[in-house]
Amino acid sequence: MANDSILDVYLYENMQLLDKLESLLLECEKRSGFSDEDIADIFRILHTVKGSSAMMNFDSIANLSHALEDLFDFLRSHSSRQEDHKKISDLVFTSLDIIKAEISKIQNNGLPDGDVSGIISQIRDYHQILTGRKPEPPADSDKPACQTPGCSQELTGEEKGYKAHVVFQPDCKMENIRALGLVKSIESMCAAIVTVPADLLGDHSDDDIIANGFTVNMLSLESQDALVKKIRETFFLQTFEFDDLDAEETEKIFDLKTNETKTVQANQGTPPVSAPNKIPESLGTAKQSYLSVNLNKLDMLMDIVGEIVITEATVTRNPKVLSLHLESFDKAARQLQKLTEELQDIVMSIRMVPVSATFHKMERIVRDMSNKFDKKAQLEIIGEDTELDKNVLDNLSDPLMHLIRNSMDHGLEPSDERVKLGKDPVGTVRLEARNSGSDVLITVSDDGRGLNKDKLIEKGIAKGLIKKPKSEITDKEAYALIFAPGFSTKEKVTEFSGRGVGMDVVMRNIQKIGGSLSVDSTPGQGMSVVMQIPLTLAIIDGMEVSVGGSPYIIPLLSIRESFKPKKGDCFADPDGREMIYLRGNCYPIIRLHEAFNIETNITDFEQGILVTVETQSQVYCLFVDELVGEQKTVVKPIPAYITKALKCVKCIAGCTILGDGSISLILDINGFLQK
Amino acid sequence: MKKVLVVDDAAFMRVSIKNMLSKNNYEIVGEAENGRVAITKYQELNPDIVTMDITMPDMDGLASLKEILAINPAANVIMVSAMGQESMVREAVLSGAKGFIVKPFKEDIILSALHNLD
Repeated sequence: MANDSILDVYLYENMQLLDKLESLLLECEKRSGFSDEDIADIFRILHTVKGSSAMMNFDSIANLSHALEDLFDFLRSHSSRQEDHKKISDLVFTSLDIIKAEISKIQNNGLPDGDVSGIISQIRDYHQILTGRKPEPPADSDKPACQTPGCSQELTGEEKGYKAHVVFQPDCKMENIRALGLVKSIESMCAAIVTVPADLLGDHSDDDIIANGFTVNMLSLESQDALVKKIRETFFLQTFEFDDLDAEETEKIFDLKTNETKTVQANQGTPPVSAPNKIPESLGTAKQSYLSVNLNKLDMLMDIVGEIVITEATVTRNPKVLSLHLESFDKAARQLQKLTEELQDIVMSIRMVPVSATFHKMERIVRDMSNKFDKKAQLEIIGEDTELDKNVLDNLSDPLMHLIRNSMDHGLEPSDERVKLGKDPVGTVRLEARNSGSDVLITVSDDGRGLNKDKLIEKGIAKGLIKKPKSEITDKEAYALIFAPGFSTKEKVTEFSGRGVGMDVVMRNIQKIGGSLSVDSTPGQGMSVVMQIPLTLAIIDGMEVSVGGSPYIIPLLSIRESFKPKKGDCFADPDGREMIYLRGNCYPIIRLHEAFNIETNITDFEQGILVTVETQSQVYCLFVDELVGEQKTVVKPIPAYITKALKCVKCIAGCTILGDGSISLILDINGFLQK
Repeated sequence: MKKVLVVDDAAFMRVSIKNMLSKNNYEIVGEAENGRVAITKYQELNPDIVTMDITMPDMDGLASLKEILAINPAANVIMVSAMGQESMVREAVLSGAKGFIVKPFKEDIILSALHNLD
């Protein structure tokens, strides 16, 4: 529907503008001041938001941005201003949040019905204070040199007098300027023009015209028809009367005396003096062409490319075709495979965006919390050019916010405490992104007090989450407790954190995008959370294996090797866990048919295959019936109704459709060892 | 069908005006996001009507209007203004803009204005 797309454009454009405004404000804050260019940029953003919001009848947003626009309009026309930067900054930040909240309502099919009167009066009050202090009038005043437009017909004495009376349509705005326009349009046809009201430029001249209409007396050689036609071109005329003036009236109005030819002083067409517009030369930086693309279309493109990848494999690896050994077919098939790979790479790269935008958004949070908790802190960003799939990045935003809030709230000590400890009074929260193989590592760390292992263990034991004796609990196990649902050692629930739902949500969000989390900490020095996020999300190389006739996919990257075990190499450890002895190392064996409760005839190790797989920290062997072959796999998520019902689908990373149409589950190698 | 060039730095406004006009037998032949681009497009597309926003970066509507009128004194340029821009609208009108509408406006307003140019 046309209306839906208008709303989309409104939302997209204005969210971008608001983000830009926020960045601008943060930058200005660092400099503790607004430059003239900043004021102009901020003004323009507010002006656009106001205009678009008014068009959409989003009055709260329009009125609020209007109030700010007025303030900044004042600032930009008073270069000798002495504004209170912090006060203005706070006003705009607060307004920004309110506007974003209103837009959120719209995005969720609600109405922007917030009450903005409070913040608007705050803005107007401050505006008053500023104008109060300033005695001199604004730079480009609305009081121009008083001029009437020039009539260009030379007075010959043969002219006739006419009178037109117009009433403009109600509320068409700037009626005095419309009247001016009307006069201008006929000036070349007249020797003289006298208007009522005479002054079309002063304040309140539009009120006069609204109340009484507008009369223009013309002295012209032109025909009545010609003049009427011209006047009719004026916009928004409601009523229009046109009459001749008799000789007496004409003489009177135009002050004509037979022995005096008075030509009305004409400034032929030169417009009133006003401050020339400074047109800044755009700094010519090489512009890269960009295109805004609807994300849904990209998702569809990804899906189709995924299907092409599978179909290409089905076609080129069809055993019957392969057995024919057709050279020309082989050649074409190789070319097709090459092109398909290229296509896959390019489509994936289209969706890759640098993390910088998301990272920089966190500056706002650090700033707000720094103010709120009275803790001086700075955000250090490293590797902002690292790229991630857009979907993944969108899912990363909330976890990052939570982790940073945690650092600010719990991790960093107050400035005076830090000084006592010999630390820099300004705490540092560091946000880092870097590539590591086929993954991206995102690290959130701080130089605060770190995690308190004892306190964590206490809480963990109290909540029944840990059953081992205290002495046996490793640091890592203790730290991992923070991800348990409902776990929070903070006594007070603050606005920002402490409800005990944060960290496990972070964990789930990361797992949802196929990543993993780990925590490290040094008491007194700080803590860090590392998120490992796979780059290749949608299409992976997999090894298809079979257990009891059912196919399963193991991500190829996780596989070290596969082999048929020899009888003597397998044994059981003291706890009864099956192990394999391989080249000087022992690895645990996980029987897939047991893990998934599948019926199969192959239960002896020598009859099946062992696949050695590795996670971030461990190596083990999966026991399967047989290897089927390498398979390019489009990873589709497990349908939501399944994950909801089962609450925990630990060992499955997703599912896929094989070339023959059957469904195969994709194994999550990380999941098996936690059983 | 009259050909229209829509000039405004806000994509939202361009889409809005496009929608309103194309439903009513006007052909939108081009768009421009600032005054400078507007001039280029004007020369390229030779539209019958130009809707011109006033506040735009790089070159504003007033400067662009003057350049376009220098190219074609009979050009039909309609200014799209906001309240508070009286001095700029006045100068535009005196420079030869055929008229102006004020934001926010509904479809009937802009149509009424364009019909006046027939």
